[in-house]
Amino acid sequence: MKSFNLFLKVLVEPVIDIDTLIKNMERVYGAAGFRFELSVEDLNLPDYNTVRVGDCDNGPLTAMQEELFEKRNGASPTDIVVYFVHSTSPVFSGCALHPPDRPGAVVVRDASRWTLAHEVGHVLGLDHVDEPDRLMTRFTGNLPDPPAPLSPDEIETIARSDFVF
Amino acid sequence: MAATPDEIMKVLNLDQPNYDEAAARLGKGALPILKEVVKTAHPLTASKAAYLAGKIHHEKSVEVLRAAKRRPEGAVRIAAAAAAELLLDHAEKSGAQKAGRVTGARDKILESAGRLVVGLTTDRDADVRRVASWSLPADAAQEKPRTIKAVRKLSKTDSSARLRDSAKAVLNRTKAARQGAGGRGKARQG
Repeated sequence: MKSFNLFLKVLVEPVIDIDTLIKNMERVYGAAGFRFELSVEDLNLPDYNTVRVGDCDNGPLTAMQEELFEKRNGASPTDIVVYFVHSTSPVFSGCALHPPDRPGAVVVRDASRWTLAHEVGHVLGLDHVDEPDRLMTRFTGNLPDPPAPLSPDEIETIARSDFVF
Repeated sequence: MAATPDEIMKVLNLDQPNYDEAAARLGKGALPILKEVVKTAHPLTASKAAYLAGKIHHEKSVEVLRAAKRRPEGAVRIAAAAAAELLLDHAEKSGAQKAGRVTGARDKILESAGRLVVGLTTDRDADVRRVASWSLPADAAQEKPRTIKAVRKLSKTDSSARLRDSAKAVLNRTKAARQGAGGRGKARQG
């Protein structure tokens, strides 16, 4: 079974508890044949509780993103680091734009139960899809429980990711 | 034709709305609906509504932000502060304010959004105060003494040491920008 390493850095505790977010990750990625090694750490960095993320599309990264993504605390360049923050500006549910050598994402406090899995999907190379029942929809708040399984193309993309071994 | 609630909710339900596109498409007709969303919706949806109101750059946008400022959830008030920054930036870029006089919609925005931001610098939530401090313009000492006074107060008395330091940094940037620009400039954080 292929796997990736996931570091969760909690600046602000999410409304939906982390155990639920992790279980949902395991359900989506486990069903597709992937497991992940998990590390969870609280980070006291209040200056980054709200992160400027630009348009979170093709960049450029903001200075705040560059600074935050430097705070990896032992994660290697191929480990995925997700920061739980209070908010982003602009207001998004999450953002997976990251420096090339520091894979990661931010997820906001009020995000949905599928946002963590969705943003990790972006880091692993997945793009948005138009089907509303799939993880990579643009409306994760409306996803069914569970979402439709990852497609064969998506599984292949993840398997080819530099962060999957 | 005015935007419908369905059109607006389609935007706000997105994980990452394209605010520029939505603001241009929906326009000021969306503001009354956004205000209702801000008052009643889930905090994240309400936050997106407040931010979109800031992107619409209309004097009535401030009414939406005032509703956001009244929400109990810090995230919505953070969005109000971030949206106020959008309004202030846009208004300032659209021309030089005539000091001491409210001369039109732009100046009304500068006045009302500035007042809102200063109010948010005393919010009970340090994260709200921090984002409000981002909105404080470098030329405040010349044209908005109320604003610079608020930052100075943050730098001296805020309960958060980090926020005091951030406010000091804003003041230092303000001073440097003013010196570098021969008396005018813009300080930003982030």
